[in-house]
Amino acid sequence: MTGAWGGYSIMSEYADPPISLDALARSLEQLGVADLGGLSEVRNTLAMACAEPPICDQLALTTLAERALAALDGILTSSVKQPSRALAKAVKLLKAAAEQAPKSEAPPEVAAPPTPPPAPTVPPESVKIAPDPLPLVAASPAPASPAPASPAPASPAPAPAPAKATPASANLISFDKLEDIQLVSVPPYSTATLSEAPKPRAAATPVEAEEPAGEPPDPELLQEFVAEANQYLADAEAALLRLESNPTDADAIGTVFRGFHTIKGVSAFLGLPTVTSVAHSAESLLSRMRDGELPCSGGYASLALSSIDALKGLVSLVARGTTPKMTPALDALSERLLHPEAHGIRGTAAEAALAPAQAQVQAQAQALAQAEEREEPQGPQAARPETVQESWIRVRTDRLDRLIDMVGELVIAQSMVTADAMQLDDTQDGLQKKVGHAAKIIRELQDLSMSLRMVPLRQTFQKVARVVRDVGQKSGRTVQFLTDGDDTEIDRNMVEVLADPLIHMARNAVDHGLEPNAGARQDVGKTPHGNVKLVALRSGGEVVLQLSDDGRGIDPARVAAKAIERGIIQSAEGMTEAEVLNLIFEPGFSTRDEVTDISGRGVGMDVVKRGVEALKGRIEITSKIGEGTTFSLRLPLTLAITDGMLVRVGSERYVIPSVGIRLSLRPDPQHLSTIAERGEFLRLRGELIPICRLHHLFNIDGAQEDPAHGLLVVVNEGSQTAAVLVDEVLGQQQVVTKSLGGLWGPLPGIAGGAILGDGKVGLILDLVGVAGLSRQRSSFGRPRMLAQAMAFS
Amino acid sequence: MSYNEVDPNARWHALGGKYLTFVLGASEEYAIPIRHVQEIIGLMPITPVPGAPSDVSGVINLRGKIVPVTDLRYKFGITPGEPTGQTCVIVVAPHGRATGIIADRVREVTEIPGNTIEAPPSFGADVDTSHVLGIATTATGARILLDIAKALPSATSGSL
Repeated sequence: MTGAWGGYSIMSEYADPPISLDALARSLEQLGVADLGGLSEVRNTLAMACAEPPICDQLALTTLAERALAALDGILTSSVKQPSRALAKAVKLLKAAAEQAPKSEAPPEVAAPPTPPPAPTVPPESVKIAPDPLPLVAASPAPASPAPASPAPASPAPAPAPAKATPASANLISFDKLEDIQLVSVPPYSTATLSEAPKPRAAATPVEAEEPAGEPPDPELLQEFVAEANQYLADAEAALLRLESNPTDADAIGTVFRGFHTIKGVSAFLGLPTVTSVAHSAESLLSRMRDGELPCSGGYASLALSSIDALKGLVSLVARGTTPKMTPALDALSERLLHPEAHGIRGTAAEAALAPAQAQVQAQAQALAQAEEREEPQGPQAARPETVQESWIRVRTDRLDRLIDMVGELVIAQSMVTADAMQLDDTQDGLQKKVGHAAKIIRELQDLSMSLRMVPLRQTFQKVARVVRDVGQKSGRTVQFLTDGDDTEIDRNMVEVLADPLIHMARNAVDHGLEPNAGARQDVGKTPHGNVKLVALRSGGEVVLQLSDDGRGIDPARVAAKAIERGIIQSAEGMTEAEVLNLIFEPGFSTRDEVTDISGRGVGMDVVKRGVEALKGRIEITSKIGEGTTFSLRLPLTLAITDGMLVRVGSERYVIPSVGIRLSLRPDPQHLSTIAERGEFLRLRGELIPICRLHHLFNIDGAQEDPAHGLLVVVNEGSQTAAVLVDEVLGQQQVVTKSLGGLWGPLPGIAGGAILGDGKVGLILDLVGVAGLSRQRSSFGRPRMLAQAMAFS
Repeated sequence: MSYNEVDPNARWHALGGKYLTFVLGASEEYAIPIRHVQEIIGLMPITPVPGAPSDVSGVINLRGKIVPVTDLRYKFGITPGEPTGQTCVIVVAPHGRATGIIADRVREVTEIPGNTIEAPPSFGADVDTSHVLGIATTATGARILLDIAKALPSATSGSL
């Protein structure tokens, strides 16, 4: 049976893949963990099958097959601790996959009858499957016929919605199949026709009844489920927000539906009845939206969003290792999801009123996108590329980091070889060519390896979109949220840290920035709905994020008054407008007195600023009274790479992060002064900058002692300025920041290490620490800026 | 010390097993359990780290990973010999963190029988033996079994 794998080049010709998958599972069952030859044969067959329909067409199948594949790989590379357990897992997964595979109906048959007969007739092909001892099917009261229980039959046209989203009929089929799969693997639902809206109890009870029969789920599988479910929920949430502004986006509704559907299926497989039940209820609401029975707006959209929140909560419980139980709140939610009309939920008129405005904004967004000649239109309602076909693999980050390390080493080794090859005479022309070729490949490999860590900002943008929507609703404002450039990529580690400051700023923009209501806006001649825009773009080696609102703007006079009242400054005299505006980043500053549920809890922009600085970024603010405010965040692409200046002190080399460097100069001796013969300082355009001698701090012999013959690198970090004395600047270099091995705690003045171009380790300086050390050594006071000393101290 | 009543040497005998032995200074032979040893590499350029514990020589680049290197000779008060072709770095990972230790010479991987191991003699305050597990005696001399985790600087000992 397995031999038939290579054969299906044409879709309609594939014979009966479920049998083959099942055969694979069975042949695997007969193999021992020691039979590596047999295992690798099965593995290769499976890998081949993964690339073919039906597996590659169906998310659920792909997931199962890839997990089985991973388990087998684990055994073959002996990277799993218990190979026998991994083997059992692979068998289990394959069986589940075999069971979920299409029940071998030929594609045209499925597409042709829009409403399959409700009678539980057993298609002849299904007979082949019936004898298989599949536990879930065996447990099912109505195992054989998936068709009658499909949620679709009652509606006049079940197929078109997913069909729009997919380029070929293959996906249409797989979509129907997905439903079939779940109905077989989740027996309770196959007993009730969903179009008749089963009571939540009816759904929940049998599922729970099934629970004791199942063995405790594999913790590894559970963790995989958690990761996947979170991804699906995030996608679904984004799609829902898209749907709200463009209710006819069939692609988006397909995404939401698929998300719920897969979560339902996998959670049932893992024995998480509560998750299954909520996902099922949500899915039934979605299926009505998909069929056009309900609009995807107003109360319905909120309801669907609240089901996503509930599922997120449940999934986080699963992540902590507990099996969530049904609660009254969840019951009530399920009930609302199943019978929204009975609970007075409507697609409200307010939303409808916004629609024309949105259409207009959409047009603007698209015009903007086209003007910038982006490859992919980025208006919020622009059609997304089909994501189902993308194939993903999750990799442990430590392996990824190791890979990146090794590639870095390869680059160094290569450069050494190149240097040697250059010294050979011209008769070795062939060798030089080959070395050059290898260098090119390695450079590409390095670019690729660095890009592995990068992820698009899309998910972060979605989080912000959700916050803007929720805050807008809570505060009674109608807000149009526009994004651009959400495909801009940034280091994965940064994405997680970035979300908090962005969300905080978005909240502020809606709650503080925008006028309190539509009336106030119309009085000043603005659109009734507020506009908040989030834009990301690459600019040089940085990512620039701009969050702007078209609200009231920030009044510098009010900021100054508040800052004086709070004791942050004594007087705003002599401060530029930008400096005044920057005061809102000072701790303890808030422009609104009343504390609301949404923002103003005493934590303010200082938290945002600290968050951004932790990411080695900068934040700028521009504002015009009556026109709005724009916050600009400039962030490095990655925290792993530090853009630095390589300097030499004696025989040692150090990397000074470029972010902190203002300038470097060879000082004129007359600009150097001392205090008490110890505290040296540099007079630079009216500023007094303390000089920090690295060779003293780090006890380096043979370094340049005379600043007039060395070089002073003037660095800024926070409000502190210092001039660091070095022998010479060796050049600009991007280095990968690494830990020094963790044998000791944080060292003052040193941020980490980096492998330099010649393979040696160079230390990256921590400017704050260096300045601190310098002060301790010289017992010289804080660095001061003459003009602004009063304002800042 | 109830184990003394059973067999006074049982505690030391339990230390028997495979060890990597190496020489520090002119002739003193030390041994560390082979399971802690990750690899042995030739001496390479070491970058000094200001502010690190004083017995740390610095850090090296071990195939893309930065690994600290400790000079036990400094800690034990042994006069280091001039670096020769035999000077090398033994990379150990007692707690999963790779650390290099400088050895003047690596001798061999050998089985040290438990019954040759004895308690370290006491020298009072003059010689610190807290990092010594025991002494294995042979026909030609003695090998000092190191408690590698105690011999290495700990995370709290960094200072300037």
